[in-house]
Amino acid sequence: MSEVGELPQLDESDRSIYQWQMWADGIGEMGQRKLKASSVLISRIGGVGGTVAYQLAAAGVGKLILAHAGDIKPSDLNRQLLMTHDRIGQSRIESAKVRLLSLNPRLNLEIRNENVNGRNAEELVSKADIVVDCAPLFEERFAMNRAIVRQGKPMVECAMYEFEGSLTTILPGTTACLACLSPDPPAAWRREFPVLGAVAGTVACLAAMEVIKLITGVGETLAGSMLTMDLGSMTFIRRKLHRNLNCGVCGNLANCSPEA
Amino acid sequence: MIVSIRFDSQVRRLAGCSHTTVDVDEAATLIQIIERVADQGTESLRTALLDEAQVPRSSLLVFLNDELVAKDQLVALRDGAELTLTTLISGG
Repeated sequence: MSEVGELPQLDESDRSIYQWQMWADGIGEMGQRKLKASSVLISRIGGVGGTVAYQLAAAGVGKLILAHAGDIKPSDLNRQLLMTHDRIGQSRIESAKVRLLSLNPRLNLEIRNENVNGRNAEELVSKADIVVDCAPLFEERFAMNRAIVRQGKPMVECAMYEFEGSLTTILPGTTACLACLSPDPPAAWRREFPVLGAVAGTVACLAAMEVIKLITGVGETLAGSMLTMDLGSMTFIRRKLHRNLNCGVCGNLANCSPEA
Repeated sequence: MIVSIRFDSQVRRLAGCSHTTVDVDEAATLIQIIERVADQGTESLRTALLDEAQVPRSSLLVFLNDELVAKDQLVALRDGAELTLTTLISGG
């Protein structure tokens, strides 16, 4: 991310739009300039990733790189809020572009009509300061994880299933990476899963807050812990994570900041 | 010694319940406890917990009182300890 001296200045339009969030303790003009200077890659813009993108566009993050292949299906519309009924059958990523730019026309937006995989993960991750992982397949998540570990970039790891959500922030060399937690995909995971839009959106808003905290330095992130939530019972649990020093992905990284 | 077992996410669905208990020897290892849970549960729970070689899956996460522990880690469990068995989820 940019050094303070390199941060872009806010113009009058910025101040008029972001005035109320600059009142938030710890954000201020400097926090807003940091947001404006930042770039975030979001892998998939479905129920979770689409709302992450919308919140970050609203918050004034300067650049978003979005990766998601395919066309809009009717079954997307219960949760994928960047998609619209009149665009069924058309490109998801183009629909996202229209929606995001109508909210924030000054957003620097790079869209890719492809999903993250082992061939493009390095290049996509290299374009961003921070990565948000919202993919429905573990293969995509593992490809992103390998790339962020190699490039030393933070990744907000967020997911949902039925009424549950989970969220953590990965700092390579400091916290557990995805492969530390699960070197292989869980045997029971399937591409199609029960999902309510409100659950996906809840996880997404929390993930967007993680990104904002990483960029601005305000508050405390979930680095080193995992928040799991069951919105059916409204149970929220924060659990402590540890690196696996024998991890095949990040085990060779020195501990940047030993966990307590 | 009674150990409380909590199931989360897909493991809960496969178990068909959110909690159970197992009665194990005080010297029981985490792996032995997971095997005991598998023996007591449904076939689908067993498949979620153990691989073809009947050892705990690498993707199985074990939390002891809300702190991640390695499955081969030697931990001293007390009567009433709570273990959570879960896996990562990936819905986006």
